[in-house]
Amino acid sequence: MSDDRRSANDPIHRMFRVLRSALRTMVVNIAPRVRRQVELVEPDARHRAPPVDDVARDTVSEALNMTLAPDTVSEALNMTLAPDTLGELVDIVTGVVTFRKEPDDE
Amino acid sequence: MITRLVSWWYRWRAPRNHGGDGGGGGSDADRERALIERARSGGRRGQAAFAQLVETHQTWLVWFLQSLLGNRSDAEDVAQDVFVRAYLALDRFRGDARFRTWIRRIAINQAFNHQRAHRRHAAMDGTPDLEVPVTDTGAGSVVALDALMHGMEQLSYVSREILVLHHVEEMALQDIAQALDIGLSAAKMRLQRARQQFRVVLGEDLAESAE
Repeated sequence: MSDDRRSANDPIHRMFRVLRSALRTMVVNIAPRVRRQVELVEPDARHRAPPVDDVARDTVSEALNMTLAPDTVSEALNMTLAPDTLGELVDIVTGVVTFRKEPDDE
Repeated sequence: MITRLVSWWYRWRAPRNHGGDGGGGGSDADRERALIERARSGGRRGQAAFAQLVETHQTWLVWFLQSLLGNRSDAEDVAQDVFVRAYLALDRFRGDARFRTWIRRIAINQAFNHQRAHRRHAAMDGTPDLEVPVTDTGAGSVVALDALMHGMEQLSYVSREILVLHHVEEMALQDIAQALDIGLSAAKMRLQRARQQFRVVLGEDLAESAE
Protein backbone atom coordinates (compact mmCIF):
# COMPACT_ATOMS: atom_id res chain seq x y z
CA MET A 1 0.00 0.00 0.00
CA SER A 2 1.37 3.44 -0.86
CA ASP A 3 2.13 5.98 1.88
CA ASP A 4 -0.73 8.18 0.65
CA ARG A 5 -3.22 5.32 0.78
CA ARG A 6 -1.95 4.28 4.19
CA SER A 7 -2.28 7.90 5.43
CA ALA A 8 -5.81 8.14 4.09
CA ASN A 9 -6.80 5.04 6.03
CA ASP A 10 -5.05 6.11 9.21
CA PRO A 11 -7.65 7.40 11.72
CA ILE A 12 -5.07 9.55 13.51
CA HIS A 13 -4.10 11.14 10.22
CA ARG A 14 -7.77 11.77 9.46
CA MET A 15 -8.35 13.40 12.83
CA PHE A 16 -5.42 15.72 12.29
CA ARG A 17 -6.78 16.61 8.88
CA VAL A 18 -9.82 18.02 10.68
CA LEU A 19 -7.53 19.99 12.98
CA ARG A 20 -5.58 21.36 10.01
CA SER A 21 -8.82 22.46 8.37
CA ALA A 22 -9.98 24.09 11.59
CA LEU A 23 -6.67 25.89 12.06
CA ARG A 24 -6.98 27.33 8.59
CA THR A 25 -10.16 29.12 9.60
CA MET A 26 -8.23 31.19 12.12
CA VAL A 27 -7.66 34.83 11.30
CA VAL A 28 -4.35 35.97 12.71
CA ASN A 29 -3.07 39.49 13.03
CA ILE A 30 -0.28 39.84 15.54
CA ALA A 31 1.79 42.01 13.19
CA PRO A 32 0.92 45.31 14.96
CA ARG A 33 1.97 43.83 18.33
CA VAL A 34 5.23 42.59 16.88
CA ARG A 35 5.88 45.94 15.21
CA ARG A 36 5.40 47.82 18.50
CA GLN A 37 7.67 45.36 20.29
CA VAL A 38 10.36 45.64 17.64
CA GLU A 39 10.16 49.44 17.92
CA LEU A 40 10.51 49.16 21.69
CA VAL A 41 13.67 47.11 21.60
CA GLU A 42 16.54 49.39 20.77
CA PRO A 43 16.20 49.72 16.97
CA ASP A 44 19.91 49.52 16.33
CA ALA A 45 20.69 47.19 19.21
CA ARG A 46 22.04 44.55 16.88
CA HIS A 47 24.45 47.00 15.31
CA ARG A 48 25.62 48.67 18.49
CA ALA A 49 25.98 45.41 20.35
CA PRO A 50 29.23 44.93 22.26
CA PRO A 51 31.76 42.43 20.91
CA VAL A 52 30.46 38.92 21.04
CA ASP A 53 32.95 37.82 23.74
CA ASP A 54 31.60 40.46 26.12
CA VAL A 55 28.04 39.55 25.28
CA ALA A 56 28.72 35.90 25.99
CA ARG A 57 30.47 36.68 29.24
CA ASP A 58 27.80 39.10 30.44
CA THR A 59 24.94 36.84 29.47
CA VAL A 60 26.50 33.80 31.08
CA SER A 61 27.31 35.88 34.19
CA GLU A 62 23.72 37.03 34.33
CA ALA A 63 22.43 33.49 33.88
CA LEU A 64 24.69 32.23 36.63
CA ASN A 65 23.96 35.28 38.75
CA MET A 66 27.65 36.02 39.27
CA THR A 67 30.30 38.13 37.66
CA LEU A 68 32.77 36.28 35.50
CA ALA A 69 36.22 37.50 34.61
CA PRO A 70 36.72 38.05 30.87
CA ASP A 71 38.38 34.73 30.20
CA THR A 72 36.34 32.64 32.57
CA VAL A 73 33.90 31.37 29.99
CA SER A 74 36.71 30.06 27.83
CA GLU A 75 38.59 28.77 30.86
CA ALA A 76 35.54 27.02 32.21
CA LEU A 77 35.28 25.16 28.96
CA ASN A 78 39.05 24.69 28.98
CA MET A 79 39.43 25.86 25.45
CA THR A 80 39.69 29.00 23.40
CA LEU A 81 36.40 29.68 21.75
CA ALA A 82 36.19 30.92 18.21
CA PRO A 83 33.86 33.88 17.71
CA ASP A 84 31.31 31.60 15.99
CA THR A 85 31.23 29.30 18.98
CA LEU A 86 30.72 32.23 21.31
CA GLY A 87 27.93 33.42 19.02
CA GLU A 88 26.30 30.01 19.32
CA LEU A 89 26.73 30.17 23.08
CA VAL A 90 24.89 33.49 23.08
CA ASP A 91 22.14 31.88 20.99
CA ILE A 92 21.85 29.10 23.53
CA VAL A 93 21.83 31.38 26.56
CA THR A 94 19.42 33.88 25.03
CA GLY A 95 17.09 31.12 23.97
CA VAL A 96 17.39 31.40 20.20
CA VAL A 97 18.72 27.88 20.50
CA THR A 98 17.91 26.12 23.73
CA PHE A 99 19.34 23.06 25.33
CA ARG A 100 16.50 20.74 26.02
CA LYS A 101 16.13 18.08 28.59
CA GLU A 102 15.75 14.69 27.04
CA PRO A 103 12.13 13.62 27.47
CA ASP A 104 13.15 10.43 29.23
CA ASP A 105 14.86 12.46 31.95
CA GLU A 106 11.62 14.18 32.90
CA MET B 1 -12.78 36.77 -2.81
CA ILE B 2 -11.50 34.00 -5.08
CA THR B 3 -8.26 35.92 -5.63
CA ARG B 4 -7.79 36.25 -1.88
CA LEU B 5 -8.41 32.56 -1.39
CA VAL B 6 -5.96 31.62 -4.13
CA SER B 7 -3.30 33.94 -2.74
CA TRP B 8 -3.89 32.61 0.78
CA TRP B 9 -3.64 29.02 -0.41
CA TYR B 10 -0.50 29.78 -2.39
CA ARG B 11 1.14 31.41 0.63
CA TRP B 12 0.32 28.42 2.80
CA ARG B 13 1.58 25.85 0.32
CA ALA B 14 4.44 27.82 -1.21
CA PRO B 15 7.29 26.77 1.10
CA ARG B 16 6.62 23.09 0.39
CA ASN B 17 6.06 23.52 -3.31
CA HIS B 18 9.37 25.30 -3.69
CA GLY B 19 11.60 22.60 -2.33
CA GLY B 20 10.23 22.44 1.21
CA ASP B 21 12.68 23.52 3.85
CA GLY B 22 15.76 22.93 1.85
CA GLY B 23 16.39 26.37 0.47
CA GLY B 24 14.39 26.22 -2.74
CA GLY B 25 14.34 28.75 -5.50
CA GLY B 26 11.79 30.90 -7.21
CA SER B 27 10.57 34.41 -6.75
CA ASP B 28 9.10 33.95 -3.27
CA ALA B 29 12.42 32.74 -1.95
CA ASP B 30 14.26 35.60 -3.68
CA ARG B 31 11.79 38.14 -2.33
CA GLU B 32 12.18 36.71 1.14
CA ARG B 33 15.97 36.81 0.91
CA ALA B 34 15.80 40.46 -0.14
CA LEU B 35 13.48 41.28 2.76
CA ILE B 36 15.84 39.58 5.22
CA GLU B 37 18.78 41.54 3.85
CA ARG B 38 16.83 44.78 4.21
CA ALA B 39 15.62 43.87 7.69
CA ARG B 40 19.21 43.25 8.75
CA SER B 41 20.10 46.83 7.95
CA GLY B 42 17.96 47.90 10.92
CA GLY B 43 16.35 51.30 11.42
CA ARG B 44 12.91 52.14 10.06
CA ARG B 45 13.65 50.57 6.69
CA GLY B 46 14.73 47.33 8.34
CA GLN B 47 11.71 47.30 10.60
CA ALA B 48 9.40 47.80 7.63
CA ALA B 49 11.01 44.89 5.81
CA PHE B 50 10.75 42.73 8.91
CA ALA B 51 7.07 43.68 9.24
CA GLN B 52 6.49 42.16 5.80
CA LEU B 53 8.16 38.94 6.92
CA VAL B 54 5.89 38.90 9.96
CA GLU B 55 2.83 39.43 7.75
CA THR B 56 3.86 36.47 5.62
CA HIS B 57 4.60 34.06 8.45
CA GLN B 58 2.31 35.05 11.31
CA THR B 59 -0.64 32.88 10.38
CA TRP B 60 1.05 29.50 10.11
CA LEU B 61 3.22 30.29 13.12
CA VAL B 62 0.22 30.98 15.36
CA TRP B 63 -1.54 27.85 13.99
CA PHE B 64 1.53 25.83 14.75
CA LEU B 65 1.94 27.21 18.28
CA GLN B 66 -1.74 26.89 19.04
CA SER B 67 -1.71 23.22 18.14
CA LEU B 68 1.33 22.79 20.41
CA LEU B 69 0.16 24.89 23.35
CA GLY B 70 -3.59 24.36 23.07
CA ASN B 71 -4.80 27.92 23.36
CA ARG B 72 -4.82 30.97 21.20
CA SER B 73 -3.68 33.51 23.73
CA ASP B 74 -0.47 31.65 24.64
CA ALA B 75 0.16 30.93 20.97
CA GLU B 76 0.02 34.64 20.11
CA ASP B 77 2.25 35.63 23.03
CA VAL B 78 4.87 33.05 22.12
CA ALA B 79 4.63 33.92 18.42
CA GLN B 80 5.29 37.57 19.24
CA ASP B 81 8.30 36.55 21.30
CA VAL B 82 9.56 34.32 18.48
CA PHE B 83 9.42 37.17 15.98
CA VAL B 84 11.18 39.62 18.29
CA ARG B 85 13.93 37.08 19.00
CA ALA B 86 14.25 36.41 15.30
CA TYR B 87 14.57 40.15 14.62
CA LEU B 88 17.31 40.52 17.21
CA ALA B 89 19.15 37.47 15.91
CA LEU B 90 18.77 38.19 12.19
CA ASP B 91 22.51 38.66 11.78
CA ARG B 92 22.96 35.04 12.75
CA PHE B 93 20.51 33.72 10.16
CA ARG B 94 22.85 32.15 7.65
CA GLY B 95 20.29 31.66 4.91
CA ASP B 96 21.13 28.02 4.21
CA ALA B 97 17.58 27.08 5.23
CA ARG B 98 14.31 28.85 4.62
CA PHE B 99 13.28 31.61 7.01
CA ARG B 100 10.26 29.47 7.91
CA THR B 101 12.54 26.62 9.00
CA TRP B 102 14.61 28.98 11.11
CA ILE B 103 11.72 30.62 12.95
CA ARG B 104 10.01 27.26 13.37
CA ARG B 105 13.09 26.10 15.22
CA ILE B 106 13.01 29.17 17.47
CA ALA B 107 9.28 28.52 17.96
CA ILE B 108 9.87 24.89 18.94
CA ASN B 109 12.32 26.02 21.62
CA GLN B 110 10.16 28.85 22.87
CA ALA B 111 7.05 26.67 23.03
CA PHE B 112 9.00 24.05 24.95
CA ASN B 113 10.26 26.67 27.42
CA HIS B 114 6.80 28.20 27.71
CA GLN B 115 5.06 24.95 28.57
CA ARG B 116 7.83 24.07 31.03
CA ALA B 117 7.43 27.43 32.78
CA HIS B 118 3.65 27.24 32.87
CA ARG B 119 2.86 23.60 33.38
CA ARG B 120 2.71 23.96 37.14
CA HIS B 121 0.12 26.67 36.84
CA ALA B 122 -2.03 25.55 33.98
CA ALA B 123 -2.41 22.50 31.85
CA MET B 124 -3.72 22.86 28.32
CA ASP B 125 -7.13 24.32 28.90
CA GLY B 126 -8.67 22.14 26.23
CA THR B 127 -10.48 25.06 24.68
CA PRO B 128 -9.68 24.80 21.02
CA ASP B 129 -10.73 28.37 20.07
CA LEU B 130 -11.24 26.90 16.66
CA GLU B 131 -14.16 26.66 14.35
CA VAL B 132 -14.80 23.69 12.16
CA PRO B 133 -14.80 25.10 8.64
CA VAL B 134 -18.09 25.54 6.84
CA THR B 135 -17.01 23.14 4.11
CA ASP B 136 -16.36 20.41 6.66
CA THR B 137 -19.34 20.62 8.97
CA GLY B 138 -20.57 17.14 9.73
CA ALA B 139 -21.13 16.09 13.23
CA GLY B 140 -18.22 13.69 12.66
CA SER B 141 -15.76 16.53 12.17
CA VAL B 142 -16.88 18.31 15.32
CA VAL B 143 -16.62 15.10 17.32
CA ALA B 144 -13.21 14.33 15.83
CA LEU B 145 -11.86 17.80 16.64
CA ASP B 146 -13.22 17.67 20.14
CA ALA B 147 -11.81 14.19 20.75
CA LEU B 148 -8.48 15.18 19.27
CA MET B 149 -8.11 18.26 21.46
CA HIS B 150 -9.15 16.25 24.49
CA GLY B 151 -6.66 13.52 23.61
CA MET B 152 -3.82 15.99 22.96
CA GLU B 153 -4.48 17.53 26.35
CA GLN B 154 -3.62 14.24 28.01
CA LEU B 155 -0.41 13.54 26.15
CA SER B 156 3.03 14.49 27.39
CA TYR B 157 4.39 17.63 25.76
CA VAL B 158 7.04 15.77 23.77
CA SER B 159 4.45 13.40 22.35
CA ARG B 160 2.19 16.30 21.43
CA GLU B 161 5.13 18.10 19.88
CA ILE B 162 6.11 15.29 17.53
CA LEU B 163 2.50 14.61 16.53
CA VAL B 164 2.03 18.28 15.67
CA LEU B 165 5.26 18.45 13.68
CA HIS B 166 4.34 15.33 11.74
CA HIS B 167 0.58 15.71 11.31
CA VAL B 168 -0.01 19.46 11.43
CA GLU B 169 3.21 20.85 10.01
CA GLU B 170 3.44 17.75 7.79
CA MET B 171 7.19 17.60 8.21
CA ALA B 172 9.21 14.58 7.08
CA LEU B 173 10.83 12.57 9.87
CA GLN B 174 14.28 13.62 8.71
CA ASP B 175 13.33 17.30 9.10
CA ILE B 176 11.72 16.63 12.47
CA ALA B 177 14.87 14.91 13.68
CA GLN B 178 16.91 17.92 12.61
CA ALA B 179 14.52 20.41 14.22
CA LEU B 180 14.50 18.54 17.51
CA ASP B 181 18.24 17.79 17.47
CA ILE B 182 17.70 14.07 17.71
CA GLY B 183 18.62 11.16 15.46
CA LEU B 184 16.32 9.83 12.78
CA SER B 185 15.71 6.56 14.62
CA ALA B 186 14.95 8.45 17.85
CA ALA B 187 12.44 10.57 15.93
CA LYS B 188 10.81 7.45 14.48
CA MET B 189 10.63 5.85 17.89
CA ARG B 190 9.26 9.00 19.51
CA LEU B 191 6.56 9.32 16.84
CA GLN B 192 5.62 5.67 17.17
CA ARG B 193 5.40 5.98 20.96
CA ALA B 194 3.34 9.18 20.67
CA ARG B 195 0.90 7.51 18.29
CA GLN B 196 0.55 4.55 20.62
CA GLN B 197 -0.12 6.88 23.57
CA PHE B 198 -2.60 8.80 21.48
CA ARG B 199 -4.48 5.62 20.51
CA VAL B 200 -4.67 4.55 24.15
CA VAL B 201 -5.88 7.98 25.25
CA LEU B 202 -8.47 8.25 22.52
CA GLY B 203 -9.72 4.69 22.73
CA GLU B 204 -13.29 4.62 21.54
CA ASP B 205 -13.20 8.17 20.21
CA LEU B 206 -10.60 7.09 17.68
CA ALA B 207 -12.70 4.13 16.56
CA GLU B 208 -15.73 6.43 16.15
CA SER B 209 -13.83 9.00 14.16
CA ALA B 210 -12.51 6.28 11.87
CA GLU B 211 -16.02 5.20 10.91
